[in-house]
Amino acid sequence: MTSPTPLVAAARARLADIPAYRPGRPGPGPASGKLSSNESPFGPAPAVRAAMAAAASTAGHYPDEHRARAVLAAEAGVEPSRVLLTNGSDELCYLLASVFLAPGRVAVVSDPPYQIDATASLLAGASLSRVPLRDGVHDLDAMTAAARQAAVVWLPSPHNPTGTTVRPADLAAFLARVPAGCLVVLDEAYRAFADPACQPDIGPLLAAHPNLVVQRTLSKDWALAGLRVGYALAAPELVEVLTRARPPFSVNSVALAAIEGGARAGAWQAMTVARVREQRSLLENELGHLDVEYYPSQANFVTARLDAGLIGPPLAASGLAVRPGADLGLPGWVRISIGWAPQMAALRAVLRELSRSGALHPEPAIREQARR
Amino acid sequence: MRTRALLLDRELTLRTGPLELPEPQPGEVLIRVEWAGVCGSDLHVLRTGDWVSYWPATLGHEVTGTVEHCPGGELATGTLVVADSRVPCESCAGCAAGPNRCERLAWVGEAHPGGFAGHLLLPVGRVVPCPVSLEPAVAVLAEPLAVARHAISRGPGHPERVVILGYGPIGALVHLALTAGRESPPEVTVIEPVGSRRELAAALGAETSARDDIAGRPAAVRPQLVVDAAGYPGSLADAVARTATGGTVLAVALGHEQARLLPAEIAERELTITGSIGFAGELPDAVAALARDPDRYRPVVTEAVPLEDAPGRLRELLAAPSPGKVLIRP
Repeated sequence: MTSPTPLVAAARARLADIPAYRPGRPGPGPASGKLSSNESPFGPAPAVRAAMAAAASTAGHYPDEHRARAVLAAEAGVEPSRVLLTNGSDELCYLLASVFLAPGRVAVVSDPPYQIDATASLLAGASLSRVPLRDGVHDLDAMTAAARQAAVVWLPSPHNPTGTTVRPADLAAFLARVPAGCLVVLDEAYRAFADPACQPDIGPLLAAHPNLVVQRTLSKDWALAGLRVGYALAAPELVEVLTRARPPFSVNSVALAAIEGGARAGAWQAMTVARVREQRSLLENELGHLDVEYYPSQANFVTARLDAGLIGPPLAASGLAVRPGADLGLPGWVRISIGWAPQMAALRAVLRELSRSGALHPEPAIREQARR
Repeated sequence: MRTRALLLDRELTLRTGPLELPEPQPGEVLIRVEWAGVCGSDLHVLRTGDWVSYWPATLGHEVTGTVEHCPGGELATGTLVVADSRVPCESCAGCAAGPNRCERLAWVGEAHPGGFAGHLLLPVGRVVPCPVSLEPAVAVLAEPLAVARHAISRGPGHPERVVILGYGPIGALVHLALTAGRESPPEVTVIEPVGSRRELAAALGAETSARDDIAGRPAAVRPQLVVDAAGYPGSLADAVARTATGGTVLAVALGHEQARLLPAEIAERELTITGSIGFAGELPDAVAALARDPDRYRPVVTEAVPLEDAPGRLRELLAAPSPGKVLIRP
């Protein structure tokens, strides 16, 4: 192997602390067996698909995002001036980091964090203050203390990779204690899958806390992961600042049409969310019955203490793939995306069979035998 | 060979147990069942024992699986196939027009062991191979989708307004087949008393109602096509009452009550009442439609049950309908 050029060596040295992102692997069979990327099992709504198809003829023009912003603002119950569209919510992470972080500044994340939050912070030159999760849940007291020296707090709720939420009352108390000069980024990518009692009322929080940015995505309940659309809800002044830093046409015209089509897709999204909640409950019941530890989830995945090396091969034989927790900072666990009823039934059958054979809770020697 | 199966005794008790199947001969194919769908007609048999010609019976005629052994070599081992559910006599005058016109038409599961089992034995000409990209749990919808597509082929070409009475899986698949690939799909209204089924209909783009006032609407906005996919006592009469003058009533459901119709109304309003049973040549088309756009059809499947749990779950389904298609996995 040849040695890297000085250019590449310098780049590698700068990125030494930044792990490469490893996307969820597909299953060996059809796409719906991929339970490793928290995608929707049903795809986008018919109205959204129709809107995207119709928008193909508009691709010759630069996109105009005003109507799409109005749709998302109406859904969130805020003014359109509080909405900033981005090319996937990950772009918003990088945008926030580039504007609010720099060498010498500190970003607070839970440990394990949502990986992109950590990556964007490090790329901006900031240092990370890692606050260990407590039983899979953000430790808000410790994060409050860390925020006193920080420029940004990243707060995904439901959290990825555990699926746990911050209770709305605890969130309100946390926001009241964080210094006004520290930005709080509440990532609500999985909000739709949470019980209504776990969904904070965002409008009043935004009005009370100009340092709050709510981060959302259309990749989950809207099932538009391939389209790359995210957005921020924030004070108009913050939106104005971030818009200046954002590429001018970050979200393409087909994606904007999809958002407009989404205004007619409420029944589809309600169906999708209801099916995910139903299957999540079935999976959690099964894990409980099999005496497998898991984090009670409010997201479209469940993270369980299972050996990825043990369950991977029998799942693959059923056309399924899940995400090893080691990819997400949780070695010894797996993150199971909630899929369609047939896939989840097949997954439960694999877990039952492993339990029957004694492989789920074996003595170490038996576990080693099962892995072979 | 011996396989595990759901067995319906003559006394209409359900259990799982071993099923002996003959070894496949040239011209036959042994299929390892991946998924089998529960049809409304299966539930009718569970209630009544109608149509069954052997006991204990193993029902299940919506079947997908992989070829395990094909002595004649017509199909490669591992090929994903869907079963042709029809069992025509192949000797009557009706059969000359097509299997679904057979005067003694029987069905897989009722004439011989069906797909609620680990394996299924069929004549090799009674399966349709699937593209490798098609996932089995979607492919299993090919049979009921073929039924829906055949029903539509019996109605008017491009109605602007359609009412579907009943949104069980056949009603849902009729809806999807009516709107698939259409630039100007018809306006579909679904009349369905079960809330979860109405939610599915709304998600798939229909207007929905638990009860309707269509009979009271001005003639100009009545539907040109009313599909009776419900089959409750009086459903056909309700369908007739709701159809626009000159329109068509499509009878898909297998209602078992006498219908009270007024012949003069049918004559004076120039109504067409059309029946539809099974399918003609639509099964390969249904496989192709599912392969083209599986996401479109996936929501129709709402539940998947292991074979061992099927006796209990099927008994529950007799009392309370499911929101959508229930699949059984051997």
